[in-house]
Amino acid sequence: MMERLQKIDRRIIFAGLMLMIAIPLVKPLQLPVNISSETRAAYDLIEALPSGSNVLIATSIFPSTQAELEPQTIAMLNHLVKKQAKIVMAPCYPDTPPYLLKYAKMLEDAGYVEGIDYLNLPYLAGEETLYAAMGSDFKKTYDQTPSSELWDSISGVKSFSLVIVPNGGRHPLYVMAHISTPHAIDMIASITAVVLPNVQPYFNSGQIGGVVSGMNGAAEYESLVQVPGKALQGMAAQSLGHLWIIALVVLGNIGYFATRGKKAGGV
Amino acid sequence: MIWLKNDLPRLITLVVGVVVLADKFFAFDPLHGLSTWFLQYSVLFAAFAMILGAANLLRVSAHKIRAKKQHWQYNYVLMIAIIGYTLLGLFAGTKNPLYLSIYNSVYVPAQATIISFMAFWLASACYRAFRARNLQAVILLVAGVTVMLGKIGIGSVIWEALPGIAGWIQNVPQSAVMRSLGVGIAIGMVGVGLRTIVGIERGFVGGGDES
Repeated sequence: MMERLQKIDRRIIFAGLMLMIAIPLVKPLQLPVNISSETRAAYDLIEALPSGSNVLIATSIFPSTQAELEPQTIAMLNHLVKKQAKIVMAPCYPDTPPYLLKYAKMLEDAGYVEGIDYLNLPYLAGEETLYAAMGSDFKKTYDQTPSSELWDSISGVKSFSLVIVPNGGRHPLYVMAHISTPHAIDMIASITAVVLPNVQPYFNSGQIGGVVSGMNGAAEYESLVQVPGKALQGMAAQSLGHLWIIALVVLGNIGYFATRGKKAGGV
Repeated sequence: MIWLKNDLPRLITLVVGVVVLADKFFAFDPLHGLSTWFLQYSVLFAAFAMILGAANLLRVSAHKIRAKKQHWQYNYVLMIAIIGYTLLGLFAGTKNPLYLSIYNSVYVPAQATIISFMAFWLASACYRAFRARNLQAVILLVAGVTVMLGKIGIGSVIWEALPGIAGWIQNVPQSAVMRSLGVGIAIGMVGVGLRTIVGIERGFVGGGDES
């Protein structure tokens, strides 16, 4: 029996996880949300923006990161709309532009006008090189952008009061190195949970002003702006999924210690 | 013409590297202008590199079809998808409803599904790897479980100190390790950068021999 606990069939593990994730979808659960200092700092940065501030969202959201980054982006866009910020969205990954069309629609539903209140820049390749070019001369980097009230009001990267970087990789570090630190612009890293260890030291040192990490970060932000969205719904599923994994770990260790004792006794 | 393949790329690397690097240290307008010009062109070259990548993928796929290699039939799907979707985007525009519909109804669910599998593999891997076999494994196990529980709402229901402990693990030991790794990587990158600029590192021009 105890040996079985060490060799639970993979199909049982998978079926259990699927069940745990499905339960909150059938019967929604209300779980408390603990606001982390990273998410609180991100919220405070946007909250402190004067009305009409220019905000750059240099985003590289794509389908693999959508589950975590999209609720974060939507929650922060809701907050930026409340603050009446002028939003410039720059896609920095080839898969990103279709997402920006969706966010543009969301902004227009909130009364934003393209070219006056928000702007979608074209996708440019280059990743770190692109951020270096943006930091060096933002207007020249996007010199094919048609004239508009918002675009004409921007003279360079220093025209932005805040840079938000939704990404599931190293892009926040590139933006920090080439844009936010050299030009003293506040920055929020909006990241997948797995990236947090890379970003955390820079948040602790103050180089990155705020961090919204993973679905739990998105849920925290949704609860701060009081606009419940997909993250708050998803957190129940994630919580139960974590509990299932922890239960499996506990069972595996019970089996390990029980059989180890037997083996030791038998020798 | 060996200089065209070997020496010219190294000379370009040297000039561009020195100019962009110097621009970070000196406030000199002509230098900044030249550095900006190089950076703008690098964005353009990156776009060309993407085209080159797609063309290479098509070439490799065509070769697999011609040689009837294993699963060669799937290369037809790949080639039709690349060429068809590119042509649709070029002629109908990237805001075309059909273009967006293919992206949102095929590409997004397919990629999201593949990444979702990771949750199942992780569950299985955690179950097998988190065994308290020795002191290091116990530390890993306790830290892993604490952070997993501390990051979800239910953690504070179980024990209200859990989120704080999880935060401490992330802010203190984890940050310390990541900082030391970061410093090590940065020093290594400075070394590689300098070797590339002065031409000692030649891998990028296809040369394997290094002096």
